[in-house]
Amino acid sequence: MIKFTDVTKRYGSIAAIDHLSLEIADSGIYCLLGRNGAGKTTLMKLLAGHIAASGGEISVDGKPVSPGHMPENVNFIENGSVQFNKRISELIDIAAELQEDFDRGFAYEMMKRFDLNPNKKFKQLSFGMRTMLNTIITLSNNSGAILLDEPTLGFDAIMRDQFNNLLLESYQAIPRVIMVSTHLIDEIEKVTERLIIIDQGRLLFEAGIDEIDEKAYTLSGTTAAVLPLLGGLNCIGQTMVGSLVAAHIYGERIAPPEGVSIDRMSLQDFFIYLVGGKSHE
Amino acid sequence: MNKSVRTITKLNLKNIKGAYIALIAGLAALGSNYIINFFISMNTGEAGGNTGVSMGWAVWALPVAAAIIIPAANFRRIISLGGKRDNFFKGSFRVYVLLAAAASLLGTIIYYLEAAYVAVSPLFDGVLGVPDTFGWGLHGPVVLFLQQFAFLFLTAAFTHTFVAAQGKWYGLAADIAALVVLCVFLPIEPLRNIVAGYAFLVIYNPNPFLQIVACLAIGLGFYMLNRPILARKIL
Repeated sequence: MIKFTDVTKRYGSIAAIDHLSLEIADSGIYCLLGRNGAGKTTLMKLLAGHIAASGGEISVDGKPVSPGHMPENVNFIENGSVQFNKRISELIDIAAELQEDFDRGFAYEMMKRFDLNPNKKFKQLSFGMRTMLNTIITLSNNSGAILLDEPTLGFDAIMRDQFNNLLLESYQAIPRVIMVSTHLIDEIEKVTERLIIIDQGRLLFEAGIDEIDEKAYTLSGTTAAVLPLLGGLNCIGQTMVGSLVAAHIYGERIAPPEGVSIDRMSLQDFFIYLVGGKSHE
Repeated sequence: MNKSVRTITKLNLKNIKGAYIALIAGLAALGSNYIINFFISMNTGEAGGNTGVSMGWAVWALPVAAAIIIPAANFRRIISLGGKRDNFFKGSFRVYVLLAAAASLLGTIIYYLEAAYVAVSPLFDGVLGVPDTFGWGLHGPVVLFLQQFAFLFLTAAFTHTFVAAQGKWYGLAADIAALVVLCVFLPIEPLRNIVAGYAFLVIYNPNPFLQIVACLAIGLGFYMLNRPILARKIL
């Protein structure tokens, strides 16, 4: 069980995490979304015990987390981490010796699938390959919680698809909490079960993908037909083109009257309207 | 010893190339001193008149440079591979014990080799070695090894803690304290006596047992400060 209770992390006068409370009780693949600078990486670093909170409490399985008490069962490697300039195979072997629950077989399998040359040294790797290596090292750990910070940054479309498949395979083999922060929302939608959205360091939204699928929709039609319907609805955004309007709703579905169509809202649109929260004309 | 601590010890020993280069460069620089003196004597036809600086001084570079590289560069990389801070603390401690012992052993061997071959050579009037400077050579090779080991351990532990603290307010406080010792304590006599008292305790102590115990105790004290420092060290 992961628990954030009124957690704040300040860098000088700026609050990267601002009185955030969150509980993750069940295993699953969680997608952590937020704009640049929303506090996603900071949240992961706090949970891994890489940095100390300025206020509030973080606990994993009831044990408080801090840099002096890094949780044994949470694994996180920050994206862009610099490694020793050794061969990839050596780095994986070292990680296996440093981490108790490391699955060396899975790491080598991932390396093979991603066509990563085990004899290449870290400094010879491209940005995408370095990200891949960090992702492999993190995901090969069988501990209770895996935190992946932008794990597909620099990957091409095929590699991203491979990664999503592996993520799912890894989770099916060992169900646990896997938290993935990403900007590629529609791609992660295929594998994720729950969505956590943070904005300006605060928890903005948390729900299952099924729930979002059910509750997030768009009503389209003429302004005369659509606008009167919005009174009792939670409208998170509107797009107007001339006399036509598309109203983006999160809440109970309604039966649309004649002349108004109802459409599914993509996860990306949902995120944009929820976080952006602006009307577009 | 737990596997992770053992791995961190090995990783640190393998990834301090700068320290090994500093040792070799120091040995080469001080060793070349002998060769240059040889050629000068060949050229002038006069032997002697020079006091050589012992190659034994170079061995200090190994634990000191390692104590800079390990917290400044290796810490982040080890944690990035999934190492734990507590294991880094224990693994690095073992590295400093091993390096201080290795450096002291090498220094002791160099001292006795120089005493046997260089100091008696007509090219030199003598060799200025570590034991002669600090009075550690009076009780035989084993005590010399232990005295030098204890002092090198203290130096490495202090350097590691000093470097690890940088970037935080207490690192800045340590920098200021070091400057105060250099700029205020040394010029003013009553304050200078405090520094001299410390130097007497850990270096010039005529009682080798006391010198060894003081170095190990103070070194251990400095190293223990790393627990809270590492706990707060940002990645």
